[in-house]
Amino acid sequence: MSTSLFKPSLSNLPRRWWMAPGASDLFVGLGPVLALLFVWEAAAQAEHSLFFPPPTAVFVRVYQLWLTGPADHLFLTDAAFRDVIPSIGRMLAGWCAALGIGILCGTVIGRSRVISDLLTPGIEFVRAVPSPALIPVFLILLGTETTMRVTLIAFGSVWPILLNTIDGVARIEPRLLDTARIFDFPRSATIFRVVLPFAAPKICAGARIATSTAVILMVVSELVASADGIGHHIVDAQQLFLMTDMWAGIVLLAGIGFTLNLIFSAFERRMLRWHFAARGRAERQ
Amino acid sequence: MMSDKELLAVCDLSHQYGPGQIVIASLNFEVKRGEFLSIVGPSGCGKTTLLRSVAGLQKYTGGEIRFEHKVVRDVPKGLAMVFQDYSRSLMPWSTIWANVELPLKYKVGLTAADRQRIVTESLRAVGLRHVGDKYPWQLSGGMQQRIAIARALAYQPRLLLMDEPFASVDAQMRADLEDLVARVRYEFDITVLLVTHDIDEAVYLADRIIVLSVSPSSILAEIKVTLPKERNQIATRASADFVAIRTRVSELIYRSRGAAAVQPDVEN
Repeated sequence: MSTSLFKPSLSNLPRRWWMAPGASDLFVGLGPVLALLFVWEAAAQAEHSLFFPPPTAVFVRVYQLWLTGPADHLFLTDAAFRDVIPSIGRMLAGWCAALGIGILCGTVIGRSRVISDLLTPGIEFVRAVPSPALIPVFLILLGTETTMRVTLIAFGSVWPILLNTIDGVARIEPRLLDTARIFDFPRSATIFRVVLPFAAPKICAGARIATSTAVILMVVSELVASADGIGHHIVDAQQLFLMTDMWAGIVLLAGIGFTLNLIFSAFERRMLRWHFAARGRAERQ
Repeated sequence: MMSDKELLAVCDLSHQYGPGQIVIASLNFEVKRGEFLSIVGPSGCGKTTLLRSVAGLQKYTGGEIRFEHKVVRDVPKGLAMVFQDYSRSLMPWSTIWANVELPLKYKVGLTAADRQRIVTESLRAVGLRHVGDKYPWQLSGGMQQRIAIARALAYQPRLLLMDEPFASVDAQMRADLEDLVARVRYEFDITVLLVTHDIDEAVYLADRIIVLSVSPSSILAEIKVTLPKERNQIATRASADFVAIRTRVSELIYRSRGAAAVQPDVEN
């Protein structure tokens, strides 16, 4: 295998379904990260800068702030219930709404040439609006509560799902549609057993992009007019000159994004096993 | 030309894609219940258009197609079709078993036990009973086409349409698939309409052959195949009858192509 020349040998380990793509490379990739942290730590210790606390202090703070709660609360502190859980909840709610709306509308649009020709320019235009620019609008229309933040997250993360669904559905193999018609599949079966499975790899790719958009908008929505959430925690700490707390919030966000991606990859690999396996086979032939 | 055994009737069928682009000039023929009819013609003579029209997958611009005495406008019930590009007609996300079983789920009056029995029987008929839990992309091209045939058989169609079904497999596999079809048509008692450009294949499998001209296509001849019911790759193909029919069909198509045949470019 020629690739082994360029890849660490660990990547040749058998891969299980729960492993994200490159999960075995993860441990190898940990090296540079640790090196960077080490340099940062040394520099921060030497410098005693107020704005750049050493990473060890930041990690300790993450632990103190959110993970020292009672056992019957899964060790989560009250602060975790105030800042972290609502944030993640809103993000998931927005993302799920985007997923539902994106797949539903994407299927309708992708199935019809006429509808897609009619709507595509409009979609491209609305999509070009940077989501944070809509915060003032949403604040007026929806107030400062959860609805506004979930709407913003849903609005921002619906696009990759919608566009990928349209594309995936429109590319349906005509022979499969012929097959469905010949064997007299009901309309729902044509959609759920033929069209959507065919588009699933594309939809998943869109949904994955949407997760990172959702995390970004979750934070952005909490930077203004908020009373809780990780974004609120970060601004609050910054204004109180609690730099370690501020950095702890940032590290926590990175951790959340990273974990989400890992979970999503595992789910994707399992659900689209057929796709990756068929593609791998086609490449080998 | 109405008869008791009429299953499919094609009357004055014509089709054009645009002004002046006539693909099918005028076709008249019928398929009788239990019969194997081959339609053979040169490439681009509108064979696939004809078959797709019969299947109701495509609108035709003139004449009439009747399946079981009813005019075909949409896909009629009771049809199955085997496509040339088999790998694209199977669902890669479903196992072989699920692929064969899926159409049965939408057929009225079949219990889960019925489906189980029919799928097993169909996979057995194509010699692939053991691959039920595999996926299409794990099988060779010839095996995938056998699965497509098994799926069609399981559906128990009153008419099986085959569009160049063996055009993308190698010669050995093609012979095996021909024999498979020649056997199961009696085993499952089905009527088959096969469209192909392969004269040997058309003659080898059919009870009757319709020879089409180049586009705009019309019927050049209708030939009854007088070979014995049992066909054999070696003996049948070597028999005087087979060679005679084959030669006649070849001649008809060759003459119809006339100027269309490939000539070296003249340089001046």
